[in-house]
Amino acid sequence: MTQSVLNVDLSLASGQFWLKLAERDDFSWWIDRISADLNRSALSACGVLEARPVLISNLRVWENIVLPCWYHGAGDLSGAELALQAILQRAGLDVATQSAMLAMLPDRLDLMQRRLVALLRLALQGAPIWLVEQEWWAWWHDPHCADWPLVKIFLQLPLPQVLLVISTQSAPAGFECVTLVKSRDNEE
Amino acid sequence: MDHAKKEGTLLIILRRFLGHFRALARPPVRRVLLKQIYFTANEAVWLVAITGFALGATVVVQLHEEYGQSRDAALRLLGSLSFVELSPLLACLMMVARSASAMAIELASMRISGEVAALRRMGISIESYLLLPRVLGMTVAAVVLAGVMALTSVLGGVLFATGWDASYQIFALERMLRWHEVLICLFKAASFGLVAGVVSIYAGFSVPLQVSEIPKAASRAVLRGLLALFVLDFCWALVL
Repeated sequence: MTQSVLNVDLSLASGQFWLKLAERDDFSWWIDRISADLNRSALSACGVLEARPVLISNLRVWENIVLPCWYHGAGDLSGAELALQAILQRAGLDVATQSAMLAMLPDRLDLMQRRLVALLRLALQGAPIWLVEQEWWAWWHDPHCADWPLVKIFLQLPLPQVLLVISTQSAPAGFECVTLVKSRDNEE
Repeated sequence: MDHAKKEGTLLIILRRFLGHFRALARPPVRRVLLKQIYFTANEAVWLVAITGFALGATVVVQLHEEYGQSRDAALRLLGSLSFVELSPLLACLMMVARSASAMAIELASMRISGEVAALRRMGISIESYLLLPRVLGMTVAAVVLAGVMALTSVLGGVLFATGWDASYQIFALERMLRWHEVLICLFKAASFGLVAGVVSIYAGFSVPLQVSEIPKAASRAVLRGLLALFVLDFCWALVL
């Protein structure tokens, strides 16, 4: 039995949480550790949005988007296809243009397209807990980014049960602060 | 007490091992398995078939013309040699030379680019999704390639021994082949494929997370894979 990494058990909580890390902290390492902790209680409980998302290079974009729900679900992809179309239509995005992107391999995508794919993957994954790097939170709330597909899609999605933003800045109003109960030295 | 503890540990290991096999019920895992079989077996099958054909012809010509064996005796020797010794080893050597480095490079690159960590974050088991289908795919591919090489070598031998009268020999294949030799060929190939798959995965997963280490993973997969095949072949020779 391993002890939780955070002082709050997010699998039993609901709401918006904020984790402040130091500049020198390895965000990626802590995201790995926290997501492993949350996925232990239920597989696919946690979805991650990094500023520089990683996609599986030998899968096409469409396969990347559906991979978590395809792996954890019953295997029928028709529902996922309809859900993806609905998300794109509600966000006012051109489905035909986005469909061309779905057939590509990830190495042909630019960074913004990779972020869009990561958000769509999270949307279809249906994870109740979202781990989000601070950049995403900033984009979603920056009026200058209101026309970005990332923002349009986010505004169409229902908020997850738990939203945990990982940041180097202090928590804004409306967020409950969580802290690490372990140091990396203890973990290693 | 100690014995019971050991039994318990064995059961846990067995359950975990079989638990990963349950992952084959998941469509994405089956897809990785089929892709692995396609790239390892299907794309190499012509190469193996031509090599097998040439091998059979060479063996029969050597036995008949150099060592004075009758055609029937040469074909019987070829059947035995090809199925039990040459085809499993040669087909798997070709498979290791062609696919082991590709697999090690793919896995090492996935680790370095963070794809393995990304899969873990999605709650996807690395053992079930990445490792099991690759090892299983290589095992199936080894059996298929060894079978193809053995059959084409016999075909090459028959054609070169009897020319256009080959149909008689082909219909009387049972004089050349015995069931236990066919089974040995398949089991040997399966064990070679299994070991080659495990060695390739280990090579891909054991290198440090630096791009400069990827070529080392590739060369280790091939060299250690070849070494493992020869050692295992020696073990088979001791057993048979």
